[in-house]
Amino acid sequence: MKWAQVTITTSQEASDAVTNYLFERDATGIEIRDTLSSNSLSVTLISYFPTDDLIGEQVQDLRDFLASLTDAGIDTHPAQVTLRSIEEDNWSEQWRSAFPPQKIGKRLVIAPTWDAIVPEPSEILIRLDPGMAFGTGQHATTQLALELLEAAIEDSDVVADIGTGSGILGIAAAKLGAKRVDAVDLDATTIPIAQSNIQLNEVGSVIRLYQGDGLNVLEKQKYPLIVANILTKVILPMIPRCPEFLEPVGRLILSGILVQEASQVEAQLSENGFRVLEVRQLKESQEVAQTGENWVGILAQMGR
Amino acid sequence: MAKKVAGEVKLQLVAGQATPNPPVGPSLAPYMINIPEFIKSFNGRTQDQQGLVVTTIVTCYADRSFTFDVKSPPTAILLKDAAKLAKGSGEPNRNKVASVTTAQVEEIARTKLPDLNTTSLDSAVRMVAGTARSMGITVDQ
Repeated sequence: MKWAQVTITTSQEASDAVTNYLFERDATGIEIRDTLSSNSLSVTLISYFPTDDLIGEQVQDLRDFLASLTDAGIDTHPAQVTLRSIEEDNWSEQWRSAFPPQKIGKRLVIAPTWDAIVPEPSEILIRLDPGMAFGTGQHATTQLALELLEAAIEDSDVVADIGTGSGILGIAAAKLGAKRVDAVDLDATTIPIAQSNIQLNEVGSVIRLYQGDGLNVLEKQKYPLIVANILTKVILPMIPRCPEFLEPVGRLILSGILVQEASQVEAQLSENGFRVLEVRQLKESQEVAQTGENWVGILAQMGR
Repeated sequence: MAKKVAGEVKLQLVAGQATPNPPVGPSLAPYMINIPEFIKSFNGRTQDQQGLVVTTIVTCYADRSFTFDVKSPPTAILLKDAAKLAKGSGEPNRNKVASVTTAQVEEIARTKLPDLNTTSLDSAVRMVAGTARSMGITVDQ
């Protein structure tokens, strides 16, 4: 099936009337892009109609409508209308190709539920479908945290996962041998998603899930290991509070840190009684290619 | 989580009736997010407004996860509702099709204020009045 894509660029003032006009003529929906050009805000409206013989006529009607807005004293500039035909694509399926199984670290494999992968006996499989919670395993920050977690975790550790998102790090900790994991996220919408991922991976007996603000929701106790994949601006004020929650030689894994922020985080760790054991970068970071950003993960230990 | 935003997509869709067809499919496809999950959640969250056009902003993250917000209905829809009007004028310069009161315009401006890039009620009122004029709806003083 073909679709007629009608794109209109107009002023913000005229955009509401134009979107209304399009919906009244059975547009299936509209994508709106605000663009600031030469100090004035213009709006690009991308609408779609099932292609039929009348589309040329409809576009002419639309141009006439824009002209009548101008006549009524409404600024419609630049009032550009373009028509393009687009082929139906497999939109509800094609995104899946971006989620092949991923090998992370030495033993971890992250795969969506629709993939029939059979892991090697030495591998640890985490099933996770991407959706509305960060932590699909595709971002450098998650990969770094997983690599450091795999390297640093000891059997029967009790782990705190701060900013759990999809639950990926807590699930990995559980599968890597943690006795218990306390996973926390501030965002209430991610909690049911993390819960369902925990069930999918059959680690519900190990992980407790909390909604709230970082360390504040945890009962005062000493963890052997805390992992936090958040952003530097959240990590920096959290570091001074970590010693209260860590055993005397407890370990801290931090991710979500850009290369240029690493020295700041290292200094903060050192000021708060931590020793940095490792600053890790991905070997072949896809992220660098995609966005020009380069991330590090840091493993630190209490005591000097 | 270290949520890094890859992009935002603003859509106007009919509440409760989103499908993978355009504009949802082609606008979200470049971000490779789970489109069926968006459709299910959007239709679920907007089922009480079934049939009404709403604005939604989909935030796509660098790891291809996403979240979305549902905003107030477009001004044009609120105006048609206030004026008990089925359709805006196709020739707003010549053909005036309905009228609303200044009180109604102000009420719509208050509804829209949280979603506009202004905090001034006066400028929100002017925007709503402008949209009314562009639909052939006169504002009674």
